Amino acid sequence: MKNILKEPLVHFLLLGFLIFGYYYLKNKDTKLEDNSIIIDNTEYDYLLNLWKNQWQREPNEQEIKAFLDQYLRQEVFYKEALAMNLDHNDIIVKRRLSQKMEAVSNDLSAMIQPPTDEELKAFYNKNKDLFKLPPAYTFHQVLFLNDENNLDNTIKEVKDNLNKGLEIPKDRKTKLSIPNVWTSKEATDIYKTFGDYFTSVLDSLPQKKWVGPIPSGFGQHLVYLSKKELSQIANFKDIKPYIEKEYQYQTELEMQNKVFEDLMKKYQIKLTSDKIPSDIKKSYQN
Amino acid sequence: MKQFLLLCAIILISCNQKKEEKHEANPEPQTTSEGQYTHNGISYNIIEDPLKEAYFGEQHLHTAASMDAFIAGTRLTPADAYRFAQGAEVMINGKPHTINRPLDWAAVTDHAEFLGEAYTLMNPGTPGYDSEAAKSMREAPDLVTALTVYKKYVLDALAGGNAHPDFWQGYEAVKSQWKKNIEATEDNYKPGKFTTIHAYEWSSAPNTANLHRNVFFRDTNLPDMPFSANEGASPQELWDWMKIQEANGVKVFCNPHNSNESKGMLFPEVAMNNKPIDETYAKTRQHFERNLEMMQTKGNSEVVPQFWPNDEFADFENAVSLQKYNGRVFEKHNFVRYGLTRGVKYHEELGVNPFKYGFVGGTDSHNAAMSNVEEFNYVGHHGMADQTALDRSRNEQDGEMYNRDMNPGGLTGVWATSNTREAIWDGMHNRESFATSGPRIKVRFFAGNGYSPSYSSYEDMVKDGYAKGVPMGQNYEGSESPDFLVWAVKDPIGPNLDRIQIIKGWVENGEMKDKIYNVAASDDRLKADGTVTPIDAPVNLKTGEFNREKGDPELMAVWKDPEFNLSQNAYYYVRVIQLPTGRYNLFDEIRNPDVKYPDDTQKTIQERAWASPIWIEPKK
Repeated sequence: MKNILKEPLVHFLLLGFLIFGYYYLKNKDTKLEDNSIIIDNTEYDYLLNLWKNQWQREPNEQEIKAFLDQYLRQEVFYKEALAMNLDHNDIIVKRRLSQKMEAVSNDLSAMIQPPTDEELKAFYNKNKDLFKLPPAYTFHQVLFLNDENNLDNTIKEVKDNLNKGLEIPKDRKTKLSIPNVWTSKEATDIYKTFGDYFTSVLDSLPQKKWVGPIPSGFGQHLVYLSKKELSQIANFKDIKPYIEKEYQYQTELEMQNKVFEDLMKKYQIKLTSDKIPSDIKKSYQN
Repeated sequence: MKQFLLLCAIILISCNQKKEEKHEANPEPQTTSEGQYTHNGISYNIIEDPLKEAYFGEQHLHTAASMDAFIAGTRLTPADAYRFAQGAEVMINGKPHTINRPLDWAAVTDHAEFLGEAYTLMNPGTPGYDSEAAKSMREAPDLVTALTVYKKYVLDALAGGNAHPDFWQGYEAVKSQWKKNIEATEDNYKPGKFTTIHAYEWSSAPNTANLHRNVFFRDTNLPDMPFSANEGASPQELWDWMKIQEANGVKVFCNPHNSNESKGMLFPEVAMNNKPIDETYAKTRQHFERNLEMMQTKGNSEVVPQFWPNDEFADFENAVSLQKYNGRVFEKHNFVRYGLTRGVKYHEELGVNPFKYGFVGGTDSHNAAMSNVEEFNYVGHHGMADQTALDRSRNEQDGEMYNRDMNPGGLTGVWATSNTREAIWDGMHNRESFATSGPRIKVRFFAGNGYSPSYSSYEDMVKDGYAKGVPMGQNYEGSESPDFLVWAVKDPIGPNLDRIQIIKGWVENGEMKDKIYNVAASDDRLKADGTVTPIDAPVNLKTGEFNREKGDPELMAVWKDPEFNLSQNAYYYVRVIQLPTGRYNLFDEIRNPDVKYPDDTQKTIQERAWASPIWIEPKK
């Protein structure tokens, strides 16, 4: 039983039943005449509630007049259009009706209960790819400008000194305002300062050793890569609110697809046109 | 989408985890420190740098919640815009698009005037959703139809004295959309990592003179509803409303934009009530208005060659064809340099400068594409009007200018101690901000006494800058001729720098004057007489590649004004010029061999940065 209750199609049918039931009851007592538009208490309450739901307050008289006007206008045109058979195979009507149907299935997601911790954990375990962190790098860098005198020798000399454990020379600290120390930075952040080439080679550098020079838009860099944090899955506890949002979003998507697939089963799809590529045709065969 | 989710996860994690500094190699003291920051009851560890960092962001951006953008085909919401700013892929005009470099901060500034209509347009089931006008706005399949719809329901309604098309549901609808914008701004705030600022645009254009202002709020103490030009079309009415907000504890300022389209009305002699500018007007204006948008997609408002013939860099993204529309003919009064100089003259006359502005840059994109400023990544800013290279090369932007005269827009850099809403807002409010024409050039500017001609490190220079003087955006208060310390570093993915200039404006015997000084030039080209030897750093017109050899990545100078006079009202601002790069039309032509822009379209440009002024205000 529990499984049946969770089935989107059941929700869908239930909702459909309620909607049609409402209209059935609403129209039961009304003697429909083709050229009259009747706004009885039921109809009026319906329009009023629609308005109140939207604006969260009572309408004033002007506003009541406005929504009645709007309803009548719509109804008149609607009836005329039906009489003229304008709805038949009209692309706009089709689109609006299918949108309306989709909107109904979207509303189903509002019926989803907030997930329990277990459900959330199961979702997290099943979709770990969604919660993967990109790799992060911790490194030091020392910058040399391309037009410095005796550039190659200077770089070599500084590199040797750094590898002996000497400090970064004072005139190269925060050179061009670029920090020497970069801690746990992701590729996108590194790209913003150093450009794509530097960012792309960083991953393949040997660790715990001054190496280089590596070029960037600023000049040549010596780099000491001290830590690479590989792409890892974020901790459940740390990102729980985010997982909740994700759960909601993914469930919604899933449910929309499920409703569509279930409805599709009711129809036999026949692609008789010989202009449709055969691979695409095949994909519609069950 | 997946990328975006990943990004969110990273952000969440980086907010929650305390990063430990490990000094494994050559340890050294760090000037930055970690501080606690609280927003909405949640505590964050954020990096604080007392010497300040330049944070780049967008302060002028429209989404589908701006009705003109909606009609032109934009369906991206404020939330989508913030995602784009953080690096997520979105669909722009039906094609996936990503920003080249994510931003540090951003503000959505939808037009307040039509927020209510936008709410109806975007929310099925709302009253008016199915009205004829709303439907035709939603279903316009092409540009011509969209323009017809825009004219019929917006322009004609305005001309007929109706501020709104007939499906407008009143102020509750305005509040509903404003609330949605607020929610998107809150949802996307990641203190320390990505800042969002609550904002909107007040879009007054009396007789088509552009007097638009973007309005920015410091925190979540916000009005129920923005004040639009429908409620008051004169800036004074906007300030009156801002005064009421201030009385409620709301912290707010505004930035005017497009003085180039202002028909002389942004820097006026008389207020809109025809009364001359007086001390009260000047004080109020200075109190609420803090920065000018120097450049955006509809042109650079600094100067134009016809009024500044001696400025060799004036011919830059002037959007000259805007003069063909709405009678927005160029006059000297429309440009930022005039406004600043008139401002110091007002200070001489009234004792207060009404035009005491720092600089910001923005896009004014109506595609929800935050700071999509890179020339090689431009896909237009106005929905169906300029979505393809062909459209950009031959269409006009209806009622404004030729598309090819538009540009990807500018960027704002803010010097701030941390990437938080308060710090970024304060940075702009203090005018410690700078504009760029797109590149991420950083520029610092100080006026003080006793600066060294050079420093052994960047940090020493910045410390001295603050210790012995004031940064951009302030008054120099010393009693002798100041040292101006100026420094700039190139965009890491752009070419090297050409030069740094200081532009001075002053009043002499009641006469307004301005002058440009070259204060630093790359490759030792600055001569003793102040002129600069030209540099040849051509762009490869076949590939669009810029020259990588010429110029310097960093320029710095300490400069003294040879004609300094402490008793003269004056301002000094900085312009940093980059070596040439390809304009977007060059990339369009390279990628689309069938597309040919008219010959008068410049293929290469010299992008630039403008640092906010420092003022000399003699006491009477």
